[in-house]
Amino acid sequence: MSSSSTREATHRGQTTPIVALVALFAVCAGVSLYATTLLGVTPTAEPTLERVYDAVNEGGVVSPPGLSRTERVAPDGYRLAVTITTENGRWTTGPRPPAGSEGVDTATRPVAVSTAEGGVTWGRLRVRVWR
Amino acid sequence: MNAAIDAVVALLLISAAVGVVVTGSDTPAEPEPDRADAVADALAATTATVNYSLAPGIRELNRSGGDTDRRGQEATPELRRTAHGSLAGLLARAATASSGVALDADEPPEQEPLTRTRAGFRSAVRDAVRARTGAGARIDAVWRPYPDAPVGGRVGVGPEPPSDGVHAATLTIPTGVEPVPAHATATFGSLGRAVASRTVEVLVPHGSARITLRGDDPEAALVAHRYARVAAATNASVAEPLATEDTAAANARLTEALAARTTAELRSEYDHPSDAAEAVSVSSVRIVVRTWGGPTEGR
Repeated sequence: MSSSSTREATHRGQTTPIVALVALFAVCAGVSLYATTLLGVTPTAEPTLERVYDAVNEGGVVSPPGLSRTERVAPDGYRLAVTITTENGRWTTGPRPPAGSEGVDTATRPVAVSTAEGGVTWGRLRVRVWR
Repeated sequence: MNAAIDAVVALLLISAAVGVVVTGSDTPAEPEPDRADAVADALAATTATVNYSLAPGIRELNRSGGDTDRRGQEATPELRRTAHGSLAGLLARAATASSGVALDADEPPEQEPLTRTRAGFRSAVRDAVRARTGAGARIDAVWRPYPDAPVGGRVGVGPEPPSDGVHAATLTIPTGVEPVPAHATATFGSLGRAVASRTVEVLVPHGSARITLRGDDPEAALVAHRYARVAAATNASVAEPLATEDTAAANARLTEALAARTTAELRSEYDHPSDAAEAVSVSSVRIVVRTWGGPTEGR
């Protein structure tokens, strides 16, 4: 800076307003960049899978008709497709995910699925989450 | 000027953090392993029907040559059996059905099952479970009346897990005998006797054994053979009560033979009978589920 040594002494601890404003702006921009990035890469499928399972299971058993209860489970701003697969068939609810796996977050877990015949078979619950 | 330097340092740190977040999350590619608790929940709730044969037990019976008039015919359709239940319940039954008694040997009791009657059941249950859990899970069902007991059974399904990155969860399934009542935990003697009687009851349930003994072969011969094997392993004699199908008295004799050993082991291991009572697990089978990454091709 071009200030003389006496001014430097009297204005010690202060700084030019322009520099301060630019620094403030830069830090704010940096923090919001970080927040945006974090939001973009945070996995959403695993927690959504848990919420879907909590919504559809009754005593640890899920039934294909119960899939309709998953409508409000999707995280805000996301779309959700839920699939139950067993050896006898496959049931899906929700919109069709975009082609390719780009941007679609997937999570699965084994579940017990009640069948129309009254049995409980082994199956998989799968959620796909995308924007 | 200081503010500018501060801001530059802050930006550097933030961009480093962004870099870490991006690169850290960009490594997936391999699928997440099934969580062990999810597998355990599904094992507990899913039901299955398994078909098996009593032929291994009959073969063993014929080899041992015991009472020849009770010999059975191998490989007939009459030896086919069907069992239905939850996968966890079937695993628990397979674990208790393949128990052994090793009072003298150092090796674990499950090494040598008492009889091979349920060998077909055991392998049918293992196949049924493995077909569902796939290669990324290991399930062990263990029945031990108390830690390091000379009696116990085990059935394991799936490959051995790697040394790290393993999730685990535990299920407890009742064996069908009552837990040790509180009044029996006052002394080591009463506790040892209560544990021994329940252990014998799991090995040969006296109620169903009596009905089976009064029924037809080959089941009657197989139960008699099982009694003979338990009696031989515990140095007891049950021929006399079994001649009149008095299975309650037979189990009492077996309990007598086992109680001294049980009491002594519990006394040497624990300071107080109540501590020992807490470690006793005769009325339940523990099912431990372990999962890890890699191929998780279940259905």
